Amino acid sequence: MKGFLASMYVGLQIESNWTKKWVWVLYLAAYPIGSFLAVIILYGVFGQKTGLLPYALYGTIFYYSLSMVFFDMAFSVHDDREHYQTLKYIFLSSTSYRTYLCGRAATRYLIALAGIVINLCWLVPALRLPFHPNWGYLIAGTVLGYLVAAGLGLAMASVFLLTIKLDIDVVDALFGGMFVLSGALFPPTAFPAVFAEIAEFVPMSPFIELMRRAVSGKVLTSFLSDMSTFQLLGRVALSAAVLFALGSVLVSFGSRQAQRKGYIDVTTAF
Amino acid sequence: MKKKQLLLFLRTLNARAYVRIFGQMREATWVVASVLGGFFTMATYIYLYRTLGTGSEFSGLVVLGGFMTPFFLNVLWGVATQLYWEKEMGNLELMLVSPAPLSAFLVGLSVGGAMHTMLRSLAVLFFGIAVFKVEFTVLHLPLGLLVFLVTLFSMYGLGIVFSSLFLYHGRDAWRTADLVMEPTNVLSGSYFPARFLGVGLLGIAALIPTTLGLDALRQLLVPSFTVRVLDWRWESLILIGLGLVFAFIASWALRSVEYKARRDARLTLRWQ
Amino acid sequence: MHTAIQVENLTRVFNQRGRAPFHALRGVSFDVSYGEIFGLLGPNGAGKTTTIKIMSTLLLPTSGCVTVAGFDVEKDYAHVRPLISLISGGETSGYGILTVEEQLWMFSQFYGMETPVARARIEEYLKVVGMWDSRRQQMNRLSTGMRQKVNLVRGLVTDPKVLFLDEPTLGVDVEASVIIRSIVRDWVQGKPERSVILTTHYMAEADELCSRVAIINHGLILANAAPSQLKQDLDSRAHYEITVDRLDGEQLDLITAFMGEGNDLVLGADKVTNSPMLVAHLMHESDIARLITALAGQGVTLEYMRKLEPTLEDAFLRMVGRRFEDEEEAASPVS
Repeated sequence: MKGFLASMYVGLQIESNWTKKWVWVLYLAAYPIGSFLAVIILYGVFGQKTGLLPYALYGTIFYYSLSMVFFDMAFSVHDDREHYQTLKYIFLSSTSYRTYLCGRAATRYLIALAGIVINLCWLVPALRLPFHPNWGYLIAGTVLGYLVAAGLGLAMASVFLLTIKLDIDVVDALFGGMFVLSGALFPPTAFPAVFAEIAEFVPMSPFIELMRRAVSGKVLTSFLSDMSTFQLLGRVALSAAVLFALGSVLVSFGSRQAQRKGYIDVTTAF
Repeated sequence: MKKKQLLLFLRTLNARAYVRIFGQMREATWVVASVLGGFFTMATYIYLYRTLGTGSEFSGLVVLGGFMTPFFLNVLWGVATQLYWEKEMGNLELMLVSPAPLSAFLVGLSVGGAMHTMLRSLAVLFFGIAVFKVEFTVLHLPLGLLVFLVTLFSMYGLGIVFSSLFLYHGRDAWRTADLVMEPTNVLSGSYFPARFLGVGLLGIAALIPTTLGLDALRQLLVPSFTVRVLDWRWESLILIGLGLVFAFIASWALRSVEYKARRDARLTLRWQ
Repeated sequence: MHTAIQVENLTRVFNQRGRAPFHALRGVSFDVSYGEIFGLLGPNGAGKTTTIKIMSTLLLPTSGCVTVAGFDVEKDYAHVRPLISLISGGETSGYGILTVEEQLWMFSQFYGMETPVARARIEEYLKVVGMWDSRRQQMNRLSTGMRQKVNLVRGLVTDPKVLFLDEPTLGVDVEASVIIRSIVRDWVQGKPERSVILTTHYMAEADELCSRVAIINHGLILANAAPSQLKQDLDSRAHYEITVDRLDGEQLDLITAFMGEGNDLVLGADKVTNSPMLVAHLMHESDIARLITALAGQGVTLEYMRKLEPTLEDAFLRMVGRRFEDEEEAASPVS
C-alpha cells in the first residue's frame, strides 16, 4: 500500500510540479477539451439532425479517461528507462513494478476525471446534454473503468519492457483501433456487419456505454441496447477482472524477462 | 553567408538528418505501428461522416487529412519539442559548444523528419485510398505536389520557431505543446473543412500552415469538394509568405532565446 | 599570443525564486597558457563547473571578462566555439542507437570537418584508445569506460585549441583512467597551441597531469600555483616514518631533547607489524642523520624508514578546511 501511495505521489509530482498550482488546475481543466472539440464541431455542423451529440460527447469523454491511464502506463516504461533513467531503481525497490505503474496510473486517472467533471459543469448546460446521473452506477463504473484501463496498460507496459526498440506509436495504433471500434464517437452500426459485431467485444465498449447511461440516465442508441444497465455493469466487472489479472501476469513476466535480457537500463534515443 | 559558414551549415544539416533517417531504420516497428495508427484515425472520421450522412467527397477530405497529420505530428514532436529532448539527453550543450548554428540542426531534423514521415504518410494515403475507395483527380497532381512542398516549408518553419522556446523552457513548454496538439490538429481542419470554423476561429487557424495547405490540396485533388477557405493560388501565396516570415522569426528567436538562456543559466538545466 | 585563457574578476550570480541570490563566483581571476594542463580543484558546489560553462560559452558571466584564444566568450562566442571542445564525466550524450563511428562522425560534422579527414582522425584516435574493434557497436551497448573513451575521442577529433575536461575519469576504471590521462598528456604536447582545463576530484590525477592548479571554494580562488609549490607551502619541514625494534617513553624524551626545538617526534605503532613507529617532523632534511645517530646511541635498531611527502590532497584539505573554519568563525555570534 505504501508503494502504491508513493507511486501516486510520484505521478502527481510529475504531472503537476512543472508550474504554479493554479496554472496546473487550468491546464487539467483545459486538457480534455482537445479530445471533444472535434466532436462538438462535427456534430454541431453536420450532425444536428441525428441527435447523436450526447452519445458522441459522453463517449469521447469517458474514452479519454481510459486513454490517459493506458498511455501513461505504457509511456512510463519508456519515460522511466530513457528519460529519467530511474527504471532500474524502481526494480531494485521493494515495491513491485506493477504496483508502481498502477499507482502512477491512478493519479493520472483521477486527474483526468477532475478535468472531465470541470468540463461537464459547462458542457451540460451549454449544449443541453441529458444529465440524470445514477451515482451508484457512476461510482462503480469509475472504479471498474480504472481496472479495465490498468489491465490494458499493464499488458502494453509488458510489451515495452520486453522490447527496447518499440516506438510509442504502437500504443497509438492499438488504442486508435480500439477507439474506432469502441463506439465512443459514433454507433458501430456504421461499420460493415462483422466489425459491428466485433465492436461489442472491444473492452472499452461496455464501460463507455455504462458511463453514458449512468450520466445521462437513458439509452441513447441501439448499441448494446439489448443489455440492461445492470448487465452492462456485470460485463464491465468481468472485463475488469480478466484484463487486470491478465495484465498483472504479463507485466510480471515482462519484468522478469527484461531483467534477464538487461533491458532495464538501456537507451535508444535518436 | 560565406562559403565556410555555408559548408558548416550543410554538413550539420546532413549529419542531423542522417541520424533521423537512419536511426529510424533501425526501429522497424514504427512503420507498421504508425501507419496503422494513422489509418485508424482516418477510419474513425470516415465512419463518423457516414454516420452523419455526409457525401462521399468527405472521405477524400479525410484521407488527405490523414496524409498530412503525420507531418503535423512530426513538426510538433520531432522538431518543435526536440530541443527539450536534446537538453534532457545532454546533447544540447555539446551542440551549442560546437560552431554549428542551431538552425542547421533544426533544418536537418526537419529534412530528416520530413523524409521519414513521407514513407509513413504515403502508406497511410494508399491504405486509405485502397480500403475506402477514395477517388482523387490525378490531373492536378504536379500542382498538388507544389502546394504540398510549400505547405511543408511553412509547417517546418513554424516548428523551428517554437523549438527556440525549449532553449529556455523545459517541461512547461512540453506540456503546453501536449495541450495544444489536439486543438491545433482539429482547428487545422485535418478532418473537416476549415471553412466551417467561422471567421474568428478561421483567422487564428490560418496561421497554422496545415489549414491552408490542406484546403488548397483538397481543391486540387478533390474537385467535387467545393467548400473552401480561399482559392488555392491565394492560399499558396499566403503559405509562402508565412514560411518566409517563420524563417525570419526563427532565425531571430533562436539567437535571442539562446542569449537569454545563457544569461539565465537555462541551457543546461535538466528536469525543469 | 601565449595566453589560451584569461579570466578577470569573474562573477556569476544565480537568482533563485523565493531565496536570496546565490553567488557562485565572486571575483575569480586566472590565466592559462598554451601548452598547459591547468587544474581547477574544489569541493562540490565550489564553482568549478560554473567556471567551465562560462569559458565554454554555455553561460554568461554576471560581470568580469573571460577570453578564450583571444576572443571574448560573451561577445565573440561564435569565434570561440570552433576552437574549443568539452568533455564531461558521466556523460550520457549522443544517440544510443548510433554506432561509435557514426556518433563520432556526426559530431565532427558539427565542426565542419570534411568526412575523409574526420574518418581518418576517428580511426587514429579510436586505435589510440583501443576502441577501433568496437567502432560498429551501438553506443547504448558500451560500458561506462568505453563510453568515456568515445567521449574523449569526440573531444579530440575536432583538433581544438582548448579542451575542457570536466571530471573526465568519473566512474571510469583504473585502466581506462590511466589511458585517458596518458592520451591527454600526449595530446597537449603534440602541438604548441593546445591547452587543457581540467576539473577533477581525484587529487592524484591533478598532481600527475597539471602544470598548475587553482583551488576554488565558495566562488573564490584560494590558491593558484604548481602542485609542487602548493605542497611545499603546506609545510616546509621534512617528515619521516621510522619503524624500530623497540623504543620506550624515556628513550623518546632523551632523543627529543637531543634533537632540539622545532623538531617533533611522535611515537605510534606500525599498523601491520605492531612494531614501534616513530614519526619525525624535522626542521631540516639534514637532521635525519642526527636522529639516526641518536637512535643508534640508545641501542635502537631501524627496521624500516621512509620519507613522507605532503600530497596535493593534504594541501587541498588544509586550504579548503581553513576556509571553512574562517567562515564559521566569521559567522559565529561570539566573534
